[in-house]
Amino acid sequence: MIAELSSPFLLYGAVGCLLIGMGLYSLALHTHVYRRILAWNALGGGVFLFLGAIAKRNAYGGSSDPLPQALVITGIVVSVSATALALAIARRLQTEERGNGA
Amino acid sequence: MTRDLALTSVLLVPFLGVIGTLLLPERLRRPFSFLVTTLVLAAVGALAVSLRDAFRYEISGWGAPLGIDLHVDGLAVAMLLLTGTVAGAVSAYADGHYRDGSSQKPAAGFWPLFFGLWGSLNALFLVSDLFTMYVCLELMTFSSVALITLAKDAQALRAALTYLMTALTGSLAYLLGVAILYGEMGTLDWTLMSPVPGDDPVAWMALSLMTAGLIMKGALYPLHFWLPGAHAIAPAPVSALLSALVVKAPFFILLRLWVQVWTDAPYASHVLGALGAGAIIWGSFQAIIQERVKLMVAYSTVAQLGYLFLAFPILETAARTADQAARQDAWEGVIYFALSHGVAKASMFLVTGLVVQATKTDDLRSLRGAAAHVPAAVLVWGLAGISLIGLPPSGGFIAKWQLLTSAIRFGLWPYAAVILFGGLLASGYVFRVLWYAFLAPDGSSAPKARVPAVMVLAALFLGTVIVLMGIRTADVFAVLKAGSPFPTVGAP
Repeated sequence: MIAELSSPFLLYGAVGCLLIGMGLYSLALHTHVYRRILAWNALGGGVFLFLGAIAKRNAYGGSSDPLPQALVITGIVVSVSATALALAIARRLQTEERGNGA
Repeated sequence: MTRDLALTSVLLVPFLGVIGTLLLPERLRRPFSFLVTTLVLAAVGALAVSLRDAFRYEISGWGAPLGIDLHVDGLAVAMLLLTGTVAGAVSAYADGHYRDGSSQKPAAGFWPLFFGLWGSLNALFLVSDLFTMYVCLELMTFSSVALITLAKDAQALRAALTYLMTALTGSLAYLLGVAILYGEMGTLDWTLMSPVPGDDPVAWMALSLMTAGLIMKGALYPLHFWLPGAHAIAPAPVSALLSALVVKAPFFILLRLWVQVWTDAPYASHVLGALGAGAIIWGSFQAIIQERVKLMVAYSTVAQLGYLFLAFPILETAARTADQAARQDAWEGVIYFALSHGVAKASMFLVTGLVVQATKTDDLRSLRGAAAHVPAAVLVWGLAGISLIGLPPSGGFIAKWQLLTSAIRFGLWPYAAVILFGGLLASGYVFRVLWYAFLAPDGSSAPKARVPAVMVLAALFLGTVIVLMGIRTADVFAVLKAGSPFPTVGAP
């Protein structure tokens, strides 16, 4: 049992699931927008780690399955742009609200 | 050859439009966006005309496991046609909307985002692997969120942020489902993994995650909270795109998954059906009590999306009957509903935009006298209204008729009752607007502004399409026959 747990894909998968759970919990808990964006990034990191675990599980010989790795790279590009867009909107919202409040 | 050219143009030309409208100087932007719109429409038309049977296309010759394949069938082409019709009308309308002196100058931001949205929708309807669908969904979300922020006030920014965070969480749920499914099936191509065995718990978990994510993005009833704010605050051409097309994209993926990949889901589909029934009743009641027209139309979208989710139990039952004609009727009715709702909802938002531009407010009471002032707008509202209620001659009538007969035929009486009751509720909000529009204007109302003719023409075009869809039904059904999951054997 312990030997199985220490195999890399199970470890990655378990950590990925932990990150997903933490991300979801913080997304549900927090209302502040920056915390929500961070929580969403943790959630995304968990999903990507899970994909990495699948790549490792499907390993053939010495090399991992390349397809999930390609998916992770594309996913990271998407999530960086998503974070940038969310931060840009949040910032403009903040300046807008400051301008009206002052 | 022509077919492949048309197919690649449908995918690539909108993205050329994105780059071109970003880089070209201001004076060339308008003719260029007109050119791109025409080219994409021509390509979609050529693809629809040349479609005989479902076919696959391998992008640059790479096969399924590594490359990205396109799967072109009747459903995909029908969605492309809907997107083209609505986007064409919206582009004409937006041209008038942003050239009019009264609105500011966000036209620079509108065109690249518009073509980005169009291109990502086209790609989403054509690709056959679930991960590329995820990328297209994200592209679509980014363009629509950025389009909402064109309204430029704090309220719009807040609505856009809520929408973005909800949609992003939904897409990660979808992505996790895709990851699990890849681990289980070893492929991302939905045509290769079909049919998934009904007793595989891991695949079911993947389906649940993907479905949960997609109904968050598609605003099914309990998860619709972001929709009314976002759709009502956006500028009129943007609202039309969001309500008519963007919410259809997650539904399209769900339809593929539940009908064409998981063919054996007897009880689970009733969960979606029950949520759909809740959406129809709750959304319609909310629409009836709204005092602002744009919010009313947005809640009407929540309600109408409910009908689309009634499709899942109906199609699931259809898959288990031997009656070929009944199965075909149910499948065509569902897709026809998506098409006719898209056209009707787009024209409703465009008409609301016209009235707002003329009277400077979207308060229901300010509509007094609209029938005398903007008669064309009220006419199109009426046409869109009869399509939403389901009265002939309109696309909505045909679609609702097919759904209703299928529900009765398969003995799904509760759904049939909800479909009929929903039509009654829809007439409540449609006629509420018409009631105010036909009241005599009171003397206190401010002098009305003129609206550019091209905006009225765009709305009238969509009104004509609604009526044509009620008359020339067979032409659309002929397209749907290609690659249908419920083929009629022996039919020509």
